[in-house]
Amino acid sequence: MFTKRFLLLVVLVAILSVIAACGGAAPTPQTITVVETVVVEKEVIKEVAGEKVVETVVVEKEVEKIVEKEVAPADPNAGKVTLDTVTSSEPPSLDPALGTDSTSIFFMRQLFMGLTGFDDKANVIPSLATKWEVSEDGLTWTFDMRDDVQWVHRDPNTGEFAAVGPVTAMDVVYGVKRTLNPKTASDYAYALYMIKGAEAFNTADVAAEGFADLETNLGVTAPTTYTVQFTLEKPAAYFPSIAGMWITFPQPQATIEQYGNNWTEAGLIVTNGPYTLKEWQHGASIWLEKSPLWINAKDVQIELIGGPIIQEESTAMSMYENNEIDVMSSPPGSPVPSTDIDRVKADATLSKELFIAPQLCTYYYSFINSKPPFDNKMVRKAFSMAIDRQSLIDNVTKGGQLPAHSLTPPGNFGNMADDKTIGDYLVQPKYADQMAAAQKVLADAGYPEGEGIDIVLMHNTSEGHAQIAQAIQSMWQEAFPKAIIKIENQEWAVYLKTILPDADDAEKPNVARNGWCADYPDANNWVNDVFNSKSDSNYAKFFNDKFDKIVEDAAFEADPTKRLELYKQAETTLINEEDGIAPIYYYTYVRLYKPWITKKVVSPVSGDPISEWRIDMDMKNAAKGTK
Amino acid sequence: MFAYILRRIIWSIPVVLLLTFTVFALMRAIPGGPFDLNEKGIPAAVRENAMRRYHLDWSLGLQFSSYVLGDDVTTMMCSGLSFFPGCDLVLSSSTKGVSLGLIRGDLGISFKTRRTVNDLIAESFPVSFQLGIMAIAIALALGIPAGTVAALRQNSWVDYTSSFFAILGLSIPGIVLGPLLIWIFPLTLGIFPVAGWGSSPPFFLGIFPRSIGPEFWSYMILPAFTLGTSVSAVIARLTRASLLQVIREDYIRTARSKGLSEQVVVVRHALKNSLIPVITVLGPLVAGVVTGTLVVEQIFGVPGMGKHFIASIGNRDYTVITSVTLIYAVLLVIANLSVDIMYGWLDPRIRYS
Repeated sequence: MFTKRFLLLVVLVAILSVIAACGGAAPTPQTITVVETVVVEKEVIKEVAGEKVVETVVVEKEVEKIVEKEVAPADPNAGKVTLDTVTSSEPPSLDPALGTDSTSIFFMRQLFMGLTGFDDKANVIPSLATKWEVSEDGLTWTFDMRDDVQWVHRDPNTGEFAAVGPVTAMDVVYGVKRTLNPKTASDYAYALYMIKGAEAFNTADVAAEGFADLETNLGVTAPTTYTVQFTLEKPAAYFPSIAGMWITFPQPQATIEQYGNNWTEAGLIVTNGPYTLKEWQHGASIWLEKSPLWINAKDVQIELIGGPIIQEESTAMSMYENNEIDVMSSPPGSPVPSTDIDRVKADATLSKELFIAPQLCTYYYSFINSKPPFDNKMVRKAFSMAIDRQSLIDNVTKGGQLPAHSLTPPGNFGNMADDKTIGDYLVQPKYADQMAAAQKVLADAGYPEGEGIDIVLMHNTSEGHAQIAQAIQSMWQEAFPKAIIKIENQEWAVYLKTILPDADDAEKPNVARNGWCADYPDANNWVNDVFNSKSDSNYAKFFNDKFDKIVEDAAFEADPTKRLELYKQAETTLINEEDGIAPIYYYTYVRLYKPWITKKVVSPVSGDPISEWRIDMDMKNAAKGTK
Repeated sequence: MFAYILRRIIWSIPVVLLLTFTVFALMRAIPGGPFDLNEKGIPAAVRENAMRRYHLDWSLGLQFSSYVLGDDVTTMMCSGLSFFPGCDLVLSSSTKGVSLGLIRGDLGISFKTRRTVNDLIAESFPVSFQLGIMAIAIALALGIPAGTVAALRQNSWVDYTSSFFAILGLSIPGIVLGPLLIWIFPLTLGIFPVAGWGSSPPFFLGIFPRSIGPEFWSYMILPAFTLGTSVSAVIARLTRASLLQVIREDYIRTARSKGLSEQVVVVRHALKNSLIPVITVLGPLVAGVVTGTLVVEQIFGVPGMGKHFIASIGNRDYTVITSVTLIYAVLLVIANLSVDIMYGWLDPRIRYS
């Protein structure tokens, strides 16, 4: 008896915990009258050419029926054009000053519009600004803004939208100042350091004297209500791209000052983009709703975007196959699990839904240029050449990536991915020849067959990076049989600390895994922001005065043709002459789209414009119904 | 009894505090801080600004004091004892009021999301709790009968079948069982959703779902079953082993010879005594399960607390990892205390004074 009581108690506690004073919103059966069209078949005898023929005639009849049916509480989303998706991680922030990751950026690009935007070729196009010009010295940029964009607030109780004021130049000025303010502590503020006074302001001690002056003297002003003017420290021909980055988005001062850190919560946030934040249950789900007050709202078909936050890629994949979500990309949706790629390619349905497109990222290995044996550029060249990039892609990464022979991937202004004079020796059609050449280079450098080479290849702990490292290790081992090549891995934050450019060389590996994704689609974000000797991300410690001069000149140069020429020189120096790094592959997006999604404008810049997508809801509902 | 409970609670306070401090100190000892996580290097001055903002430039003891007692108390202490090493940084800090301190129920601010840890926990703990309680209920409902039947029919096919499933439950981890259940139920049979959760904040009494319609259960069943089976396997094996031992005791023979019915002998005399080891493991198990299980929550997209235990370490989100460990520790203390109280109930010879 005792166990029974005991069991009962435990079960009761469990059930009570759930039942306890429930709102009782469970659907209740209700009787409703339904008018149904009933199809009745009747046999009619007809006389055709003297013969009696029995024909079946279909007669439709309307019948009133009383049925008991479960009526669920009215679903407010029913009938709306909805993009069902998942979010692969809780966005750390939807605040344009603070976002850093692709999930946050995706949502910010739906919620806000910046001065400039990007088309599907990553070209800069007008957005909030209709036109812009630069002064002759290249230091003053003036953006003329459109005057018909409103800040929009969605009332969480009524679901109604209200315009709360025009988006003006002051909002942009406020946004830039807030991003740069050290009190905001934005991780991305450094991308605005070309603005006059920005670096001094962003790195200042907030308690120091004269702090307020630094903010006032910042090179961003609003000469008129709809004109923004930026004064730069040094010329930056790529500035229109910067003006399209989320960190320069206008920010609603009144709302931010009223709600502080919480201003991006649903119900508080005001936005100026095609969508507003309908609901954000932290860690659980996010929903965006179309803003009817947006300037081009009439062209926006998709009314709702959202779904649960699902970290597990294979779970998201199951949801996709179960027609619960419409898209697997990242973001929106989850990345296609790499273990499923082979199956997707072989599957008759899924392979048609597969979509592979270039992404503005490059995977590369940094040789630590200051540490032997990679202080010798011939050794660097030999090791870079000994990587069979195509085989790595076909057998390990499998995502249709492109073998990289330069730093800047296709899609950025100033990329040399199609120019085979850069790094041609890294992507020879026959790997055997390439390996033979690599062996010769290393022998000439004084390490025949790799004799005397003892190096460590390090990556941050991850299954994917480990597989790539093992593949490359075996390629190196095959090419240089006498070399000793070890693989080590460290947890992410420890790893970054280890390979930091000013960290101790003795603690560093000889080769470090790195990757870079564009913040803005311009080669300056690659050659200058990463491999300038002053860069904080120059993990290879590639310090080259000639290179520094080229990339700084390129940033200064206003003429696009001359800039292209300079970027070619920069890549030639970085790859052909010095082999500072081993570029491995240019990333691709591997995505799945259900066939009812059309007109997918896929932007290589993070954050696809969902406002330009279309969904065939009839097709979607039909597919869901069959499941 | 009451005095005993009170004494146990008072004694647990230093234990919990020591544990909190250990996590607090160990996390800070790992290389790499919360602002070193971006491959895109940030200028040193910006990093230092961010560190100052969250008092990470203070000495460890003073940081802990700020976490436990609050910024204002720490500042007060420091203005009284300004010679104390590190106090100059406290007094010159321009961001006071980052933390009200544990004693006032403030768990601090998460560096990663910049939201309060209280908010993070208030939205995720109830979900883990709801799932955990249900999993434990399933585990008990499956485990104790299975173990009992196996012990009473030792070495029969019933025993072998029960042991087989117990071993199966133990050896199939959630990471296998979860996807398998997803494949069977939502994908093949088209019942139950693949992932998600059926209740959301605000929770009733801060922890219970507001409504428990079919939707709530449809999300609950698969993860609760996945979590419950592995726990039930532990319980079944323990119950069987313990009952086998008890059933051979002299007093059981005495009970039988008195002419008591077999049911009374088994249930009241044998099973009750054999449950002591089960209760012993159940305490920590419950504390662990209701604070969230990363694997099951991740597979079924349950927005519970399990993720904070793991993600916050990678993110060096010091306040979050310290706070979730603290909650786990407190629950563990409560669970162990409940176990001790239950001993007295199960075995009248055990008395506390």
